[in-house]
Amino acid sequence: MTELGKIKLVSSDSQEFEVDREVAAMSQTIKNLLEAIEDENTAIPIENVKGEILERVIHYCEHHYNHPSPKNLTENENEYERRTDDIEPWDQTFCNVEQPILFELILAANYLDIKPLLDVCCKTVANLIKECRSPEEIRKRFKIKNDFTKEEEEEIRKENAWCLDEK
Amino acid sequence: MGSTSSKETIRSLSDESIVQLPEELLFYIFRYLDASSLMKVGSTNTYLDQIANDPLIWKKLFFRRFPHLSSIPVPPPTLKTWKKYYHHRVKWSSQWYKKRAQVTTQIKYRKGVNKASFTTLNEFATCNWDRTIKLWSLSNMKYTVLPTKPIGSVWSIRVSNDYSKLVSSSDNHEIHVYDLPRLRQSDELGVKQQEHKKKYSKKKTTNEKKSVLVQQKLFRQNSQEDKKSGILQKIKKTKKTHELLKSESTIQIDENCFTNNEDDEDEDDEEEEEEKEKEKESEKKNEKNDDDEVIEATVLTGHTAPITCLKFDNETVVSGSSDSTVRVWDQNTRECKSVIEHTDSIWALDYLDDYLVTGSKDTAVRWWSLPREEMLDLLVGHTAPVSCIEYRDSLIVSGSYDSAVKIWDLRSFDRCAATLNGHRGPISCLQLVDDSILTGSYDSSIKIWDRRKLNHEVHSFNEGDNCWILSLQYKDGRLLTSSNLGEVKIIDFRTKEMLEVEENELLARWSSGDEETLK
Repeated sequence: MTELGKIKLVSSDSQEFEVDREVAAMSQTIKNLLEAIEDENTAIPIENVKGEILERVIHYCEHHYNHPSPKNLTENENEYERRTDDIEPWDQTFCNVEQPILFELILAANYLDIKPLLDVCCKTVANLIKECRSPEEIRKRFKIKNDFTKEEEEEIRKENAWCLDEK
Repeated sequence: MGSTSSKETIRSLSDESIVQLPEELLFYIFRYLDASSLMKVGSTNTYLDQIANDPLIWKKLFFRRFPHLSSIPVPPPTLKTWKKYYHHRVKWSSQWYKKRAQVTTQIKYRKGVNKASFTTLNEFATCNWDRTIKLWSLSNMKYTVLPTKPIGSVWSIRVSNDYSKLVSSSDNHEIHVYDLPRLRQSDELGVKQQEHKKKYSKKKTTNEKKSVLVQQKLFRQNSQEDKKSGILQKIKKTKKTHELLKSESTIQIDENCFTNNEDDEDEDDEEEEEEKEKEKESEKKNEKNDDDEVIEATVLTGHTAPITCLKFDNETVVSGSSDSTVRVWDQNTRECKSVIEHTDSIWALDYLDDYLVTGSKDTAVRWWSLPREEMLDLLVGHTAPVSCIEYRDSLIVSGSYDSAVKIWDLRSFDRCAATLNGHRGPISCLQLVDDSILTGSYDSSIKIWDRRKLNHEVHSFNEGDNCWILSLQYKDGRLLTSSNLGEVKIIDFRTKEMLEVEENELLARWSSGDEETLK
């Protein structure tokens, strides 16, 4: 039995989490599921997310449920404006994790359809990319395999040369 | 200890590579990148290269960087992709580093010119110390006096991006909104222009006349015309005009050109006479136009002191005045929608969406929310009145009589991101162009700064002694400046290659999405 107003989530590796119904509903996917399920006590399987990650996602949702972000004045979302320097301090700490975990959080946020979490994780990755000064540095940081031929690489280098004087 | 069902996602990530993310998520991440990072990440790997070349991302980047070109529906045919067009435009905007600029037009008017502003590719407007607003044609360097109602000194004029409206403010506390195409289309005026020419100039070059007509046609909205072939012809003709312009290279015109050949007469008398004559003429025009309703201005009244600065868009006008208020006007109803109270004279303002920035005589820069009529922040740092200001995204650039230009970043905690020192006199005007900042000063110089470079100053033009630069406007590769000595100059930064692309741009504008631009 779950407490009143709580539901049970089960991760891919069979870990169980009890969460406030309202908190869990921050995930559009779970919200839709809840509307479909009649029995309040059914445990909801989250098949694509393992326990370690689900725990973090719940932590994120709980924090933001209890501390709703004040409507940021500068956030007037311009279609062309894609800022990455407006991550709240709590979110910055939250996203300060090993890369594999960050990528899994992105996958989980995408699967569970939690847009603010997806945004903040993607912004963090974008910032990591922006910090790199050269393609080589990006390869190193993200363990990307260079699969260009020598000729292709030379061509791309030439084509992209102008961006080096761009910030 | 993952269960079988989730193995795929989880195992694949254990090698820690970003490449394992599905395409749509990488796309989502890449939307947050700037051009440079996007190209770097694309240079790492074939899969990432493919996503980093996404046309949609580049289109967005393009419009973010070049918002003034947002009416362009497709990249010019010669450049094909948004990415290449972006590259081209970046090269274009960095032209002034190469100091290749040349003065293509130079006018010496006998009175100071408060402000000059392009009204089409081939025409500009000036507001002068003699209380008139004039339209100058670049193809023959003749001017038409705008038959305005009697006004005081015109402090400022602004022309909308699509050249459809001209708004003036003056020290008689009124704002006038003029409809430019109507003014230009009016045959009345055409006739008058010709009379004017006959009277004041004995030189008549038919070619030049033609090119004026061509230009006028180009900006006239004729929807019934067979478009494509028409466009091509027009563009060919514009090319000719460009050549013409180039060949003229430097034109020195002073007031005498407009008078007849009685050069033996005393100059001062001549000038006075001429002025009277002109005044009469403009009065006549005024009367006539009132009858014909050729030029009817929307008049906005409410300020109780001279209006010092203004900006407008399709619906609204925002004006700042020495009466210490900013007023927001509705152009259609002519009503004042809101009044924002200051404690001192407002000398400069700019707004974007719901945000307003003002520069005041009290040396402070203020950031406001327009709908709430509420101050969001007070930026202190200047030591003299703030005379010019521009606002973009979360960036404010302000120029002051203390000779300094300051860049404020509303995202950063300390607000003041940089102070540009270099001018030796009050800053009178400035403009933000991409990452460059153009400033004009009473120290006779125009400077170009790069806000990304540590040593900000990249170029400086000196305009001679005792010359106060009063206004500057950069548009599509050309810089238009005016001064207290009556000098109006156009400095051209464009190269041949650029002119060609510009024509392609016109073609792109006309061949699709033209309804929007032509309306």
